[in-house]
Amino acid sequence: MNKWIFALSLALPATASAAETPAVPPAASATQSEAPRFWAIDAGLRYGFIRDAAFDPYSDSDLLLQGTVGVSRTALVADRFSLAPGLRWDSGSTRATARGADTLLLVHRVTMPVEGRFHLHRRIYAFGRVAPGALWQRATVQDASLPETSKSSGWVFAGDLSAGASLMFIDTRGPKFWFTPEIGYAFAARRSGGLSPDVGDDDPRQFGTLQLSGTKLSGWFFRANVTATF
Amino acid sequence: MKRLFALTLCAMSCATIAVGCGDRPDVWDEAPSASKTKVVGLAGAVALVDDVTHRAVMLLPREDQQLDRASFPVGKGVLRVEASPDRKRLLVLSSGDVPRRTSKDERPSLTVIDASDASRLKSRRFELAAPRSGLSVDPRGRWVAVFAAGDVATTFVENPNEIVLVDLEAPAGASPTITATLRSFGGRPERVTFAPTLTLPEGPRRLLVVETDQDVSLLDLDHQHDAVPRPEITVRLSPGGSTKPMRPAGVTFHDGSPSRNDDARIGVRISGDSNVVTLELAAATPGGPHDFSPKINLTDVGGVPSDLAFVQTDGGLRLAALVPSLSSAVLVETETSITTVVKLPAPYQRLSLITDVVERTALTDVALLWNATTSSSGVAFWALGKTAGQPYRSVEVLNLGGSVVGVRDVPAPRAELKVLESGGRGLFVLDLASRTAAPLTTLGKATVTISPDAERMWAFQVGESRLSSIDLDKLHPTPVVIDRAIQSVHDVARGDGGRSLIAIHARGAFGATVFDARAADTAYSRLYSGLLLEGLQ
Repeated sequence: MNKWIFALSLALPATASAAETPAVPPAASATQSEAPRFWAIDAGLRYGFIRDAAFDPYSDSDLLLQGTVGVSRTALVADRFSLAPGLRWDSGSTRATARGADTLLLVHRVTMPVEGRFHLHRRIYAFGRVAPGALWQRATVQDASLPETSKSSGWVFAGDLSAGASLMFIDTRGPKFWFTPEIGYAFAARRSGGLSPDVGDDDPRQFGTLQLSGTKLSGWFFRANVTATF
Repeated sequence: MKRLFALTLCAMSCATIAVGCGDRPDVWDEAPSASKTKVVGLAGAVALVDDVTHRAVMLLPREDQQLDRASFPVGKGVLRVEASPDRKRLLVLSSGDVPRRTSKDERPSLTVIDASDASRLKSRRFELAAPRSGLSVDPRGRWVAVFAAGDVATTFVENPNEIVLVDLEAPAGASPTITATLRSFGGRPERVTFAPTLTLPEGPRRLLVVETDQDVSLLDLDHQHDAVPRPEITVRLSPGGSTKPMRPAGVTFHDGSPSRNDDARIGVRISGDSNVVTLELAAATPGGPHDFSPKINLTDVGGVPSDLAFVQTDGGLRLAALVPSLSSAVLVETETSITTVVKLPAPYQRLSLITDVVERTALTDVALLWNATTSSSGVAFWALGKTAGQPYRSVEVLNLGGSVVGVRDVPAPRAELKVLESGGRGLFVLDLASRTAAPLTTLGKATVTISPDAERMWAFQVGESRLSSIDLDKLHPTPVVIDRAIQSVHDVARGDGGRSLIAIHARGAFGATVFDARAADTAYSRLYSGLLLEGLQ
């Protein structure tokens, strides 16, 4: 998986560069006097670094790669500052082999970010983001000691605290396209409870839980998005 | 702008590789295996000793077929795993890091997990100077002897005559580990046996008997914490001038007459030799380091003995030797070495005294004879009193239609029962009181586990899912449905006074099926899986 991430990361600049050439208008003339109001829709990748030992059964490394999409709308403007609430969904999974058992961890993180922006230039703004929300995870273990797959899923509180900058690289009369790198720290509560076999309600057998600690998906993260504003 | 864009993504990629590719611990990459996981049943728990993760996972049953799990670290490189005779302790002998390159590398060690109270398990680790693979545990639970077993070489150079004694009940201030080096005349230890308390001239004494490949050494355990521990007494078995080594093949003990303190004896069988040796532990001459001295008696019993025991007869104490080549037992008069040959109906190879079970008040012993090779041999009861004017010749055969290769004791309160294992498909439950043997047929080679409360036994086939419970009162077998292959079963006490049956499944990361042992019903069993995945995070 690391090779794939590496290749993808290296491929992104090339793709973006190719798109940038015909689209970027002549350089902007001056800093703007007031922050613009716009809708923003973004998509990209989120690289999470999970140091929690409970993550080890599900991944050969500490990396959790997620896709991310978000939408926001400028709500308040004061001089070069603006405030934009929004909605964001990060989703990803990781699979591994843990002591011979096949494991999978599927993660969905839904947050409601509030983004404070400072517009340095009409093509650049820096931002800080507070994003409370919730995280849903499903852990799956398939071990030869039991024919059935053991599963556990549920919601926990989660949130992000991050900062970054958006750099416009395509400026059209309609939508404008920005490259948005971001770094931050993700918080998430640990999910409690073990994994139970995935059997039907009519299965008469009783099972004990597989006591793997719930993963606490907290840690530093990078996010790289392409944002369209209009 | 284009450059900034590319630089940002390159930086993120590098950071991803640098930070995100942190490896997880190696234990996740190695699957458990039956060869690296030892399963040991204790009185109130089942231990899975996982050499990959260097830990013992203790399975502790609770009511409603619940299973608590607790994990204890053990030393790296597990060499031997044993339960103490009372099954309250788990002992794990480990080699540590070999070779030891840094100060942080582990030394060889003995880990003792005390499971006598299932709600408060305790672990102690004793570091050893060198790795040893031999382990012998005191039946009374105080001592552990660690020695270099001949079958596993752990270091380039070993001193096989160095024995480490671990005193689990060492007095305050005393070191729990004592290293004793036996004087050697060229021999190396092969077996180490803790003798029962023997009445010696200076009082009751615990001895460690070390059988080497050519002599026997006696170590006084009660004086190992002395400022200068008493050295061992080595008894050379080879007659003077003989070049043929006499290799001990087993020992037996007798405390002698209750009114005397100078007639405790040790009987020694010699491998491939018709001689038996009796060591009488009499008073030593004053001035020596010891207060007892073994007097050696060598007696030829006419053939190579296969088993040995001190027995009480009408004529007094005798050393009984089974000699299969003569189809006889030979009784050796311990004072004079006069022998009496008792012809047996079959060449029985093993002997167990059952006097305490069948005739508690008798002054003479009764022995159970078994493991003969003829098809009609079964087992025999040998009464060592005088019957119809024929001393020691009362032998009653119970023909079982085949030979008996193993005898399993049933604990009190049903000590009168023995479970006889035949080489084929079948078991017998022998009632010593009524001298009857009830056959139980099996579809395959059965492995038997007898419950410590003597209410039932479990028969199963290793690697199959066939399991049966047999009520030892009515001998009623009840099949128990289980849907996974069984490696072992353990009848374990619960904290609430009940008992649970834990069947261990060795596939994958190990699983278990838990039943109420007193009412085994699949409808109320509980299945556990991935036991060796737990507790590592």
